[in-house]
Amino acid sequence: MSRRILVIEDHEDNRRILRDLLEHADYEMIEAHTGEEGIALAESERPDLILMDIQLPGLDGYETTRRIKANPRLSRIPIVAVTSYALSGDDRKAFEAGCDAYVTKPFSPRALLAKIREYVP
Amino acid sequence: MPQVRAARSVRPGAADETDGMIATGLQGGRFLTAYAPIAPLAWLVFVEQPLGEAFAPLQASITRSALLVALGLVLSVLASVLLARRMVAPIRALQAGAARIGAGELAHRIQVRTGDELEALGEEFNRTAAHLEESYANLEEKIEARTRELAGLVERLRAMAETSQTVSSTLDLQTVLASIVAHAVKLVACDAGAIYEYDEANEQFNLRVTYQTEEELLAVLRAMPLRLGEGALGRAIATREPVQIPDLGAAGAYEGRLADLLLRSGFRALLAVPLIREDQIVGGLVVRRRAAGEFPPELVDLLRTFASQSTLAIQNARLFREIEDKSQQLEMASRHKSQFLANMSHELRTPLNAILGYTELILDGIYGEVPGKVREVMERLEMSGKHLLGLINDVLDLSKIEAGQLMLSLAEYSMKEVVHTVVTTVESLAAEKRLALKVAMAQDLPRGRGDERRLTQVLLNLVGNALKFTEEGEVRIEAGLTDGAFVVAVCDTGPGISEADQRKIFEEFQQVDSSSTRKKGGAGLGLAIARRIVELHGGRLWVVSSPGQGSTFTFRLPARVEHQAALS
Repeated sequence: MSRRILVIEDHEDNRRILRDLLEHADYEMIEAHTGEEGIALAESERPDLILMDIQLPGLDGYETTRRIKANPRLSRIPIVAVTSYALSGDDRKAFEAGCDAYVTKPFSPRALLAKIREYVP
Repeated sequence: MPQVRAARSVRPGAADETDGMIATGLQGGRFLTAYAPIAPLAWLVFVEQPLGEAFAPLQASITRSALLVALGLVLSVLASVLLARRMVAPIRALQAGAARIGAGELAHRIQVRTGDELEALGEEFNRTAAHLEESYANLEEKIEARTRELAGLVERLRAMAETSQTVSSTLDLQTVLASIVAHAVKLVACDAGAIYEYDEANEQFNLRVTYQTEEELLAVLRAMPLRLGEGALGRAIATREPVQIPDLGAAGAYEGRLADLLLRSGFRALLAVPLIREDQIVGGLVVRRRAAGEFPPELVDLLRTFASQSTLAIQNARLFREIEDKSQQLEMASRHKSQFLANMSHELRTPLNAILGYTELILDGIYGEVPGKVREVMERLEMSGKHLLGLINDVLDLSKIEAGQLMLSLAEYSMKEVVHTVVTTVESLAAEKRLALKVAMAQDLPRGRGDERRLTQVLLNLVGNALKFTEEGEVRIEAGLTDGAFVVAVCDTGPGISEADQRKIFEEFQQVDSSSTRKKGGAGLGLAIARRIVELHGGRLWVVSSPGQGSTFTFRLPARVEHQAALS
């Protein structure tokens, strides 16, 4: 059974790149466009890893992470944040919110895949 | 008888002369006697004459002389008394008078009525005293006048000093103008005053401050601003000179709208001074007096000084307002700029993310086999995309640093790892250019505290530059610890940098030669950013180089940075 990765990302091109990358690497990808949607999908689908964009409309990535990590049924799911280089201190804030790792946008698909494989081989 | 004895005792024949002598006569009584010897007879013949008879003529003469002397004495005493009465008294009077005058009693007059030189002398004394008295009186008057003048001057100066102090110490225009008008009114001995500020847009004078102005008048003055050209102030502005109305009640003296009201309020005279600076109307200073009469020129001049102080104050306040507005605008513009740059860099990066992402997926063969020619183009595409990304990042970094918004993420790190990361990143580039990339690192480097990502950026920039500008030879990275500070040096065998250029390369958008920008790429922001990042760590970054000798860029920073340093 292939591993499932939940991608919470509002930008279509990024979702497409991740989908092409992950499916090529034999992962199953489920998509959410907003934080709220992501929390619901995490609850219903129980993915093996979550890729969390930080700059989301509405509920941002930090808050979404906090809520997922606050849920005992979901708290063990590793979350890799995709932080924006534009805002300083994002990495620190990501860790504080409960993220397990982060990659900086624009990310290299190759580097991202390596990071994912650390958690979901 | 004694005379006979005497005669006989004389040696006979010794002398023919005989001396007379006084002796007692034969019949008694005193006689003057003399003898003569008659030799042949050996007689002595004596002759006697009674004394009284003999001395009678002498006695008479003596008596006469004595009488004469006595008379002379009496006469001279009489004369002395007379003279004393005629001379000593007036001299005494002169002396006493002179003494009194000398003691300062200049009103004293000497009374000598002798009709001679003494009286003349006395008059002379009196005249001198009178002169002195007059001079003293004049002098006192003059001193008094001068003292008054000086006191006035001191008061004016004090008022001026106070006003200029107020002008320079407070930016509150109302306070300054109130102080000016109060001092002005007091110093020119007026009863009330006001300062108007010119409103250019509406061509009218608005009341700014008043001093000692009744509510009724104040209400009217506020309600009807003076129009340009109206009243005394209007004329003063038109002529650029003070205008005074010595008597508001005189027919035709004043025909302003306020004439009646001013008279009703008890004012009879007014003086208006224009506030003009560099031919620009600023406003007007008006003082009013309840007593009619000309304003003396010195008071008009004094008021001019107050007017120029007011002008200065109004001007200062306007400038200050302008500067405040400007700085607020600037601040806002700066905030907008920072926000704009942050937004823009994010917006630019989103599509770039897609470009680089797809390119990498294509190159990784995710979409199928890539023909050789396409691969080559895709690689160039990826390189350009990454270059563009670097430029965007640099601009963003620098704008954040300039805005003081670049926050270091201070954490534990290993300098050794930083060096390894950089070496791994640039290895292929060094190999491509056939340059030796050497590392000389102390083995016992302790762990540091700082912003690892930023320090990696700094070293990457230095090593990247070294590789970029060196065509043959080597690039060497040295890292060590000295006195609790990491010292990292990047040495190359490149062309070297002249002293003049060494200053420039740390400035934004500067490369030694603009043609190298095209050839080597980069916007020339890297070193400026690197230096600031090192400075934020409380360290410094410098270069030692000379043309033909290669370059060594070194940075030294505390191994453990607990607080971000402020940039100068």
